[in-house]
Amino acid sequence: MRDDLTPDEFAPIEQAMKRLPYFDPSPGFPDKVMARVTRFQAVAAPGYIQPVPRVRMPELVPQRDEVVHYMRRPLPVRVVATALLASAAVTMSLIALMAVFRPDLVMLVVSTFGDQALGFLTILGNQTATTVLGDTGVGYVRTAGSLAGIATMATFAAGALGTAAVLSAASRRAA
Amino acid sequence: MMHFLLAFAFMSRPFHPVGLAISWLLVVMVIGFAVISYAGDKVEIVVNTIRDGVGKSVTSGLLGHLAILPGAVGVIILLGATIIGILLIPLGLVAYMIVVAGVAMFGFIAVALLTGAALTGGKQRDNTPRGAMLRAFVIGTCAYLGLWIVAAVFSWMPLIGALLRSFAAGATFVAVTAGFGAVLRSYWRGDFARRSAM
Repeated sequence: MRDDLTPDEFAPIEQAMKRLPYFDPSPGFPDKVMARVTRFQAVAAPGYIQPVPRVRMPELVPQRDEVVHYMRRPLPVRVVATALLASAAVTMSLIALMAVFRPDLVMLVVSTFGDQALGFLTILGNQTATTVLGDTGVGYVRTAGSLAGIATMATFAAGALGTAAVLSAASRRAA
Repeated sequence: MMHFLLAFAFMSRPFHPVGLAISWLLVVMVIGFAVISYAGDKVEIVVNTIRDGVGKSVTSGLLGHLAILPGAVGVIILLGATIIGILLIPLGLVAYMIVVAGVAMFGFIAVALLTGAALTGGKQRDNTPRGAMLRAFVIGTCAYLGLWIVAAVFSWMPLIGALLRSFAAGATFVAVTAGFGAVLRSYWRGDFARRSAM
């Protein structure tokens, strides 16, 4: 029935519905009808083989290694991960708020720790270079434009490229 | 007596770099044996990742090297967000550096294994796959650390020693970088999780 009909539009429909004959089946009418309907049923006949329940095909079963990333992690792992993310989010938010409302404080921190960080990185680089190349090699490299310095850097590059070539050849051979 | 000891120390000084290089060889051997014995399948995953593309592994390794220091800063920031975390910053940094060194060593073991397998030429001298892995690892490690031993032997020659050491440093840098990148790539692609799920 439509709800948007006005009472004037609905009146002829109501009259037509009232003219329809009343349908009053007898008490045994459904049984008489169904007695004339053929229903097919799985009836065990002589020589009939009971079908084996069909197993799920392998391609329909989700592979565990395909969905392993979506599995829920254990609770302690989730708690730790949430705590780390929350800590990082709070810290970064505070830094962002400070950068907006107190830029002078941020500049002070950067100027204080920036130089120290650069100094630390410089010392770290020098220590690493001395450990790897030795005092003599670092001395050669620091002497700008010297033939020995260029040769030292060239041999470093040769070693790097040679190893890359050996690894590429090994990969091709293995493949 | 004192003069004798000083003279002995002076004479033994030229052998110090050689001893150091051999010590490193032994340390890498021991760690490699343990890793291959207990996590041979993981090493195999990293080796396959290197085979998938040496350039990709080297690039990933370079990016990983660049991310080491920001990662340390990230550890400090994350731990500094809580009072207890501030006290744990030194321990966290030590743990972080151990993890980074472990990843680099793991990658180097895989690179040495791949190099050794190529040097052996696929000869079937071993009865088991694990034996072939160990043989390839020993040969590869000797190839890489042999460069350092040769450089150490010639360290008394000013220019030649420096050049040999520079060559060994370049070779080791690429080997460690490729291995480091391959481990990162394998982890990023989920190869380790996929293997453990099977």
